[in-house]
Amino acid sequence: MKRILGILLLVTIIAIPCFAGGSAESTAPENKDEVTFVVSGNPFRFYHLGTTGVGGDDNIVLANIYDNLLCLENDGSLSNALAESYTVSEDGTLYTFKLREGVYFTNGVEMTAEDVKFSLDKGAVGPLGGALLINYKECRIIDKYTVEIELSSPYAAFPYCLASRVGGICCKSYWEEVGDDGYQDNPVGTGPYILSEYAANDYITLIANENHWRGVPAIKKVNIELVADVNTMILGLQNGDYDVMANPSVDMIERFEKDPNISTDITDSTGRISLYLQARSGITADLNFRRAVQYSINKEEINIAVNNGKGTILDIDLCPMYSGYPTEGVHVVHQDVEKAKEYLAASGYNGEPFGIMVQAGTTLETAAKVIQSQLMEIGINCEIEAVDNTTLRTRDNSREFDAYLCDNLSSLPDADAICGFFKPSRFPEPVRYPRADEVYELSLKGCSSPAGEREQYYTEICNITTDEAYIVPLYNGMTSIAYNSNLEGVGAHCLNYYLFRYWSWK
Amino acid sequence: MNWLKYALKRLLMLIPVIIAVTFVLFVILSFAPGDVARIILGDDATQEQVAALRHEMGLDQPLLVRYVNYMIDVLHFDFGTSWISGYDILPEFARRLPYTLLVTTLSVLFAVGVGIPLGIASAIKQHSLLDYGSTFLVMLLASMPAFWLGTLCQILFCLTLRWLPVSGVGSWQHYILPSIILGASTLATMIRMSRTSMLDVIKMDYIRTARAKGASEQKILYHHAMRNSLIPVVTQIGISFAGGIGGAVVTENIFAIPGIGAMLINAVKGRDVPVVMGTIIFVTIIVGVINLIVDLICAVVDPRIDFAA
Amino acid sequence: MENNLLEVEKLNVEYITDDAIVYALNDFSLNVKPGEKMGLVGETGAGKTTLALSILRLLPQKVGKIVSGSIKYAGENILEKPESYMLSLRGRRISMIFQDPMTSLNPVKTVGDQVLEVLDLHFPQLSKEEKNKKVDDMFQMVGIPCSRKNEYPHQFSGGMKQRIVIAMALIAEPELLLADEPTTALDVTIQAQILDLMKELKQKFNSAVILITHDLGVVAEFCDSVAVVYGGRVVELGKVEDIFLRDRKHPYTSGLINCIPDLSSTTPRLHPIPGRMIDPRVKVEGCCFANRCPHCMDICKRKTPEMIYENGHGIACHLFSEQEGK
Repeated sequence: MKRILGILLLVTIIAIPCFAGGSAESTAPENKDEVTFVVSGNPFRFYHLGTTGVGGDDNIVLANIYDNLLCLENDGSLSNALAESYTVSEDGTLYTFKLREGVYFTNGVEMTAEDVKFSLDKGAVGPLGGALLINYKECRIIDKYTVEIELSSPYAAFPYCLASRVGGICCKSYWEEVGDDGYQDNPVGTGPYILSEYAANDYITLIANENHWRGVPAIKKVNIELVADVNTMILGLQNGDYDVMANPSVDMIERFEKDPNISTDITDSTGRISLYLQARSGITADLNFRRAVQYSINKEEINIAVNNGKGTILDIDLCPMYSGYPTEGVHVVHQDVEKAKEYLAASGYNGEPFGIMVQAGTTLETAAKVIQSQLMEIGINCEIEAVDNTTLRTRDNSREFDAYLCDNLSSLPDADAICGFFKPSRFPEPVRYPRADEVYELSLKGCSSPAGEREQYYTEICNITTDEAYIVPLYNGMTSIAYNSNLEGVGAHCLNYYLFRYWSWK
Repeated sequence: MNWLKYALKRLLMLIPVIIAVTFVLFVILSFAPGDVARIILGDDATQEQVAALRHEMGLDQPLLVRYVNYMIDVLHFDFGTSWISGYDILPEFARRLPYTLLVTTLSVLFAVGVGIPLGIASAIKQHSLLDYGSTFLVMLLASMPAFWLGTLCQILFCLTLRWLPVSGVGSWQHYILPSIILGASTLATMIRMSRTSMLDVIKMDYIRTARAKGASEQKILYHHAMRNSLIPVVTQIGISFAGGIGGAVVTENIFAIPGIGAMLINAVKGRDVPVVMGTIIFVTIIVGVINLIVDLICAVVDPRIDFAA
Repeated sequence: MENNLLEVEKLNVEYITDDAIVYALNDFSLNVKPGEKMGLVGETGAGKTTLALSILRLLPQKVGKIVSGSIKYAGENILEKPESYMLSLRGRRISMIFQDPMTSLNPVKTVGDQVLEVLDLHFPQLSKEEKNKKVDDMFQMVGIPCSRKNEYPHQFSGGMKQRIVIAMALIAEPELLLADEPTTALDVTIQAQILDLMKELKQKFNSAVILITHDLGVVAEFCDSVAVVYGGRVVELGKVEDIFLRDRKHPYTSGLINCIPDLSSTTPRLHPIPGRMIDPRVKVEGCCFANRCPHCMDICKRKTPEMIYENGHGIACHLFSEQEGK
């Protein structure tokens, strides 16, 4: 009896490793038309018109399988994509787009004005519409290759809206066949690449679209590897397992610069690293205290510590590349330790802990530590609360912090980005800033005034945030990319779109 | 067929265990901070949209209702889809399980294959250089955390020597480092346990009897001492194997192995309740089955164990 | 003497521990003739087990050391022989039975296999059937049904286990059997059974036996001759009748015999030997029993008494050397 049991067990034990072991991925030697791109995020939504919207990580895939009317390039400029050309009316509310002819979706259907109207209408009512298709009112089909988009009021940065992740053009007839779920499972676009394989939190494979209107891209297959551990990414790049690595930190860039096999590129992103002070409760409700914090911060020190001095220091919570960036009449605060101490004394601060919330494991923790030492010099008992991403966003939403140091990456490179925290739809009572209504009014004006006129509103908004010390801007965010020196055309993109169609092996 | 009845009984006993574990887990997860609907929709969405999604996902219902609904689905083998990434949980688990199984199996084989002989040799040649050497090795391995040792090995073997790939699962070479790193702590335990066990066994009276019969030291080692000293070690192997299934998180993270540990940790970070629940249920079952197998193996090795009791 | 099977001469054995050296055997001398059934009597710690282990050279490796003296077995000084020689002796020509049957058997091997192993080790030339037959015969002789050959030790009672141990020890028909308190761990009725078995086997096998015990009753029933051991040396040696019946005795032996409770006497008190055995970690000058002896004299404290023989009855005591020797 025990014999039988014993044999049975032996067979089981031998069997386990035999049927274990996953399917081997291809380890074919690197062809000259394949690239392995390693990234730490988790893109999993490949269709932007559904009910759950899409996130920043998803851009990696979206920007390559869909085309928008206009394309956002690495440096933040716009180029014509599915729009061959466009005109804007005098009052800035009417955009007329002439579409490119002879562009086909990957299911063989030709892209026409029907598809454009369908995509924009659907995007506008979805979860991203309010934020990314600002002032969108209506889209009218003029003829097969012409559409007219009407805005409720002129919005100078509207072209950027069309280039954002909600603006990819989808195939109307395909959607009518398969619906939202079918589109997500098997996306169809006009872009240079097609989604081939996807394994959650593991890898994504894109293959070149042979019928792409720009021509077949040089890289025929992109293996996107999703790796969580930064060290693994770095080592893999250095030993050749990976060809391109997304967003290495500034010190890694300096290390890579010494390695002849690795090239790097770094550029300003559309994000600002700023310290957002909560102004409704606790010690930060006191303006004097907030001013004390504001005046004790030395931005140069932070820039040196985090970016080795390479970052661009910001005086206002907006990136210089933003459309509508105000340049005149802006109040600026420089470090003044004496003043800071005065404000602190006036505030009646009694040594309570002042917490800076920051995402654990990022370079922002370093920045927070520098700020901590600067604040402690004037006598503020500063603590750092490094939390994980999910807790961070929860507390952000409920405004449960004294100060929040974050990298505020804006989907639209427009000055209106500063108003994000003041909009009633985003933060209702009682967590809103005290002067949020004022800011909101100004924002509405800014979003309906033409370029040249709107800057003044943003000047006012910036001054409110500075005078009230709601926000202490630090420096402009940066994106970077490191890659095998034998690759060409690889560059860092301000909004982390990676435009694979530019890449090629030498 | 006593053992068959015993095995069935053990498997049935897993059911209350699963219920208890999942309930506690469910309660804990519901208290964890983090609004999943907000995370899915992103910061740009309005409060109304977030509320609508919460309603759609059933998050506004009371805890017990949600739990019971979930368990009813589970009984129909419907483990749901990931809240965050939307994939079907059961097929995804089935896709990832083989990787974790393979790495864990290899790590246990490594630990057993190196650890047991080393431990036994240390016991026999107590206080020799080999003995002190292996004790030192044990302490070293036990004190080195996996993430440190892992990265260190990556630098040495992948970057400097270029012998092995850094991460992933494409070929057999990909499995060498993760198995060793994951097996390091088990190796320490194996060395220590088999050494202690052998030392105990060698002092036993029946060993003395065997010597008095005229058996040589070698015969005593292989025919008398070995099997007896392995009895506690077998139990430990089971524990290590079960631990490896759920606990390979760090190793899977460093070596980018698409296994269950990675799935679990991503789900916990993202408060993806169905994935966490599903994964834990599977892991509980697997651990339960492994423990059962280990107990059965013990019964085969040790004739004193009898299931009729 | 004439063709002794075993001659132990002035054997000194020490146990070397971290704290101190334990002098287990001091100038221990003993001779055993072929077929002789000798009882080795003494208190716990007297050195009886040490002697048995020394004969087989099974002292714990690092700790036990044979410092000086000689052990001659069948004319050969086995202390000088290599391990391979000892392997051929153990189990085949000299067997040993240990004290505790509960732990003497390997729990993961069948009892049949364990007895068979002796044959595998020492009679490899026999065929499988022949070996199995011998095992069956042996089982029958010790009173265990052969059908239980494939069961495991834990399935047997203490008494049966001891029978199995005896079977293991005798299957190779050894010349010398060392039995270290074989009945001590058993309850009285089983003791009697085992003793009967041993007496039965005494007839069938002609082995010499050294029966180590602290039970004088067992000695009286089974043995031909007795050696009384105290403090690591033999203090009295002779035939059973000499030791038990004659008046001429070593004071220790007298003390031992007086210890036996007398059920017919009316006094309720027992008569133990006062005092305690000397700490074996101390090398004694003079007689080792001096501190407890009712007849202790001056010379006892200074000089270790030699063994003086009278008609084959030897006593190591100054009382008698004064009277006899000179």
